[in-house]
Amino acid sequence: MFQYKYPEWRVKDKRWIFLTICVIFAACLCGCGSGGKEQPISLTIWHVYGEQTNSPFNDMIDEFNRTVGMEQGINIQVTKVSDTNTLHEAVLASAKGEPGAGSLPDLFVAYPKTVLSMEQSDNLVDYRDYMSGEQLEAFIPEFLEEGMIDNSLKILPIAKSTEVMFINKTLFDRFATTGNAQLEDLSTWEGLFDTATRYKETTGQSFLAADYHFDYFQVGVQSLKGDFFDDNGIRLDDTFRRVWNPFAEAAVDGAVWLESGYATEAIRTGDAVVVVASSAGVLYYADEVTYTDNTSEPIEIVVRPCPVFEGGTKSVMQRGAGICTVKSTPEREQAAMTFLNWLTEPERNVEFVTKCGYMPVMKQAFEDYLPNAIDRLEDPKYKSLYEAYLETQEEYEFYIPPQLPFYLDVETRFENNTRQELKEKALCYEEILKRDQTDANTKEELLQQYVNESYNDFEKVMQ
Amino acid sequence: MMKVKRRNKQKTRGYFKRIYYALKNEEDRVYSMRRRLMTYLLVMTLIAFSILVIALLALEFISDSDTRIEDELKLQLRNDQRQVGTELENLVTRGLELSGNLGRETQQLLTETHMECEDLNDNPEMLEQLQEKYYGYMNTLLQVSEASGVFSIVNATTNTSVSDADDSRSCLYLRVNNIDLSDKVSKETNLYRGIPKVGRQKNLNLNNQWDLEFDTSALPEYRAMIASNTDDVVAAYRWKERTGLPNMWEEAMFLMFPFAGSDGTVYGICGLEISEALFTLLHPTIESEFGQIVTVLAPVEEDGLHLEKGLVGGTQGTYLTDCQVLKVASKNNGLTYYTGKNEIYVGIQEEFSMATEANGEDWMLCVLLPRSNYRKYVEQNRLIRILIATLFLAIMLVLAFYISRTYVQPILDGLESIWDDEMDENSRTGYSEIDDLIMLLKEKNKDQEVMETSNLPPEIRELFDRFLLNVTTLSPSESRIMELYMDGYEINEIPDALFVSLATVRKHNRSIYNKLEVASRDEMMLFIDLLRRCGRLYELREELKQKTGILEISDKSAIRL
Repeated sequence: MFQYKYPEWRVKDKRWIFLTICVIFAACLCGCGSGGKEQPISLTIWHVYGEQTNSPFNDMIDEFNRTVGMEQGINIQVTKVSDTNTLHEAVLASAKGEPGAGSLPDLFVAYPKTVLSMEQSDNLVDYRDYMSGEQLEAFIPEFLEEGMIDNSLKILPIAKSTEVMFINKTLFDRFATTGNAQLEDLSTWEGLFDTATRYKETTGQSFLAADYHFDYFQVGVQSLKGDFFDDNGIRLDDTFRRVWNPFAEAAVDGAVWLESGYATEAIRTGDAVVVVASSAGVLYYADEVTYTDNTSEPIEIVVRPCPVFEGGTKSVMQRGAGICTVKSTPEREQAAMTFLNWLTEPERNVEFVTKCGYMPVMKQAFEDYLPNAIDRLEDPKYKSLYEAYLETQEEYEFYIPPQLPFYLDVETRFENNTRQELKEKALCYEEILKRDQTDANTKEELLQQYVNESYNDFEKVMQ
Repeated sequence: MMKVKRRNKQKTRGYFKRIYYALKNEEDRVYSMRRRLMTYLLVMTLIAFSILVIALLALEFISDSDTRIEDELKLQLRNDQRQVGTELENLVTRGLELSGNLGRETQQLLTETHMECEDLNDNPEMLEQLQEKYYGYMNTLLQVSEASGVFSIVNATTNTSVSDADDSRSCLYLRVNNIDLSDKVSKETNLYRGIPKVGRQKNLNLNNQWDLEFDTSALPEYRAMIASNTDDVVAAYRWKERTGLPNMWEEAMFLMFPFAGSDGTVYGICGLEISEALFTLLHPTIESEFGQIVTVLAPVEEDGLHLEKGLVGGTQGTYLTDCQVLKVASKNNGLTYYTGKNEIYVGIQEEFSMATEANGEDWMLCVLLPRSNYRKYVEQNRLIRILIATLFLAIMLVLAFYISRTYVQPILDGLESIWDDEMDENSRTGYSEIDDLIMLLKEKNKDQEVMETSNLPPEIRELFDRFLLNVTTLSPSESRIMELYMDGYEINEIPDALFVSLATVRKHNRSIYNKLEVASRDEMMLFIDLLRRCGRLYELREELKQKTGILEISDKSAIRL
């Protein structure tokens, strides 16, 4: 029987073949995974902490990138540092996809009014999807509540501020000796406006500047048990008038600085002695005034709680934006959360806020770390600020603006119209005074006339 | 241990000996058809594969990774050279225009008021007038150019009696609020330096770090430029390397021009600023298949590329920071390797002409790629090529195996029919040569049958049977030797064929003779010949095959006779 026997596959042959295949695959795979560092996940951020100055927040971001970011392959890049208003406009332009507007960054700082004005805020992460109950409870509840939009936690608080009164004590003391004024007079709005008027009369300069007239009126009306808003906008009633009159009188008289810029300008150029503004503005107050003759003098700035109306409750605006995260891939969202969790660790939160004039947002930060941090502050301005903070926290009620769909529109129109109307009347008043020799009674009548006209004109444009 | 070493040495020598003799006696070796055919097919495959690779290389469908990356970087560098060159050239052009305008306005005002430049000192009203005149030109330039700020510094001060009057100079400095490419149509600006009244007239906010005048101690180049009595402003302009603005978080490079009257008297310096934020926006990272490519414009000194003095484009997706020195580590063909703080970068640089300070720094425009990205690409590329080649060869191996089997099987079937004597008119393999052979053998078989059917004397037949029976008693080694004798080997050829000594062969011979009951090799060969003539040789072969088949599948110890 013919049988050609091909050699059978021996066990040893099979082993050699298997080994050869393994070597080939090992050779193929040896190139894998040796490519070195993966590209980091780069996240862009727009923020408001430190525009046009040394930014402590940028320093914190650098620290994150050097440490945790390097370990976990996350890189945060600051692509815009601005003021809240400009950032607000930029965010809305990007969100609406307006021609020429860039795309939204991965993270941005925003107020609730900004998020409410976004046509579609569904593209923002709900932080409750990424944070446990325990993590959320570590925040101060009121701060967290402010970030709830449409039943989603879209704004994570990282720093909160309030309104305080910055006083150029050097100029004030100079006036106080001759003008019979005291710092305590400034604790009420009535006293403040009276002092302002006397300062204007004595020096010819304005005395008071305020960043947010809208806040003055809103909190003022609420503190006098009135309602600032109605269903369609602002309620212009007697309570509102009570708040309008003293302010308008001082403004028409020229005692209030009504330029469009931030109130820090007025302090910087000596055009104002007292500023009512966000506590976060402390980053921007220089310790000297420069006059038009290029002389400068160092000044002492002290901080006091915001004035209140006589007979009204001690109320003050709660301010401070939070951070929104734009939805993208799970990896990028998780990277953003890694950064935000790092940022809001209590001790780090205190380290950041005390460099920028904010309040921390974590309970443990307030209890365990803030007191020591305040003790360590070296700049007297900051020390004064945090003393005012603590006094405000003890004695004042924090007023949280309502989340109304027309809030932003009303606020913008209110600010513009208030300044415009009062500035016009102030110029007219000044012109008449320069042109005509008026006695005190006439002057007072004229002032009231312009105050009334300003209110009537304001009422018309706001309707 | 020594015995083991000696044994291993002998083993190794044995292997090499086998290979050597295998190659030496290649022509004499016998291989199966299938093995031969598979070998031929595999060689053909390898040749075809090599030709394919050469062709692809020649047509540049596959090329060295380094070359591809170098080409990509060169392309990006060319694009950047064009873009950066155009941007900076535009700035220079507009700066020259500004210088001309400011010089003319200043000269006109001084002429109208019969004043000299020194008379502007302690004259705030005149300085205010100048700033009002300058504002229009400067704001227009800022709106239409790719600059983040514009400045003019007049060689005069508001108040010569203040303590820092020597360094303080009247200045109008406009900066763009919030650099953003979307603001190209109308940029909002702020007053970084200047008279507040002028700013308020133009609805400008004061910069948070505003001051009335410029401290020229922060700009050492100022005095040199002021002191030059220049007729040629074009030759006098300068770029200043990246510097921080006082108390600001961002830094910028400055392009400075003197502005002068028609008599060459320099009234001050003006210029433009490119902030790092603006440069980043104008030159974002390029996403390529090799990774993120970054654009850098920086001076090069002995110790490397000083990024902290130049401008760095977008760095998204990389760990590159703009505050470091990149040392040139090595060069490989057209690519340069730079060592940074956290990473090594591979890139290409070209000299970029910048009119900088008198120290004549060399500036480079570079495109950089993180080496980790580059290596990843190279490794991935290599892996893909290896996988494709391996897959190709594996497929060819399988095909070779299948083809050889399919080709050879009919031939084997034909041979089988010959062996089994089952040939008939219908025995066909499909191969004409084999079919002809079958027919020939069939004819011959008929002759053989005659011989087979002849009556052999019984004692002869018994002799043959006994011989065949004795063959079954041979050991595998003895059977192998006998096969070789049947194939015509002489005794002195067998040691080489079986890799044994002559003495061993002789020993086996004696055993064979004893078992077969023959006296000598000649007698044994006679038996073999007679069996062939009787047509019974196949029986002998069959018996021996069975023995040597056992030999082949046994381990090496069986080979060592």
